Amino acid sequence: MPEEQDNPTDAALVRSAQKGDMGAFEELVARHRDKVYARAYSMMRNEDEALDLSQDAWVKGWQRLRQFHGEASFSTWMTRIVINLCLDQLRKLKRKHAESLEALEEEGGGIERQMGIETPNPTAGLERLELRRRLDRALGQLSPEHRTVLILHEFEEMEYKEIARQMKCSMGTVMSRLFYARRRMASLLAGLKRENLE
Amino acid sequence: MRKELKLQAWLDGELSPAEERALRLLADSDPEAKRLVEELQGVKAALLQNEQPVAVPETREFYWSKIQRQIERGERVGAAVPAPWPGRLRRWLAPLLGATALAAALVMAVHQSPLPEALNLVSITAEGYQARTFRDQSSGMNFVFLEDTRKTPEAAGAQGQPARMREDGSSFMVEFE
Repeated sequence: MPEEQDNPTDAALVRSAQKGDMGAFEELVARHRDKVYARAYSMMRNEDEALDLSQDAWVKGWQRLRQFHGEASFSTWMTRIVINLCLDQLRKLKRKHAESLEALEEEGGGIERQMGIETPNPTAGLERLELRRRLDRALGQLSPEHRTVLILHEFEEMEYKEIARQMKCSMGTVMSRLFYARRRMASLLAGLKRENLE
Repeated sequence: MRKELKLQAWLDGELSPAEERALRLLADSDPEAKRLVEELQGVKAALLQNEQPVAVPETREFYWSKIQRQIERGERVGAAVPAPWPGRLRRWLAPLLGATALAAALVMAVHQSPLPEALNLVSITAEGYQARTFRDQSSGMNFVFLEDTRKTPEAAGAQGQPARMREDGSSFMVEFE
């Protein structure tokens, strides 16, 4: 099949890479590097850290390639690796720094319950590019814990149980962080809308 | 579980059908619950398919070159794990020679300047080895005990069992591992 030789599938490249073909692996990196980097960047919000962690993820991917049996797509498998590395890094950073004020507030009595409910939807009627820009800005203002839980749930489509396992916390903590993150996002998006109107 | 978290779990499809029915009734009958559900739904819908696309800020070649270097370095390190025997010998020979020299110096020091009975136990620690010498005045014999302090008790194997003993007429050397 000349077409397949010119443009091999991920599965074919993975098979070649599993036999030690580094050229095939380089092609997989080229195909999926943006997705892996984007996940690292969304979690770390820092270009240098995201570059380092995404490159470390590819090295780990190569080392563990024999463990990949195609249960999920290759890009999903790689994304899970970079998420784990980012979570490890965030845990290290958390140990170094004191708890953020936001996290203290969350655990101290549920400030999210005192927030006013934002209706109508502050993102209604926005152009897609503008919506994405505002969402990204609001995500950047969340604490790493709240941002991560939102990313894993909304973008990676993980269930509560899986998020709890990945983040090494209880399901109750996942639910409470997710709730706080969504309420805070609604509030931040409303704030951005007001800023734009003024 | 708090009512708000239950409402959220309902939105996320994490509840059983029976619980779902109860929450739907709550959202229909309680205006505040209804507004909260609308707010949570709004955020959920806004995020759906709207992640800001981000691209690697480096060229394909430059990005790959660092990955390749790390992979190759890792493979070199991995290949070096079962080190060839000259390498292993070199790794052990240096500390062993150091410890032997230390022990010899101690034997000579004790032998040439006899210490009073009460002070004839000398202990020196260096480079992960501990050397203890003891001179038995009645037999005129020097005892040297060498211990590799870098090893854990588990790795040391049989506790307190001497690995090697040597005697050369005036000295009796016991090495512990």
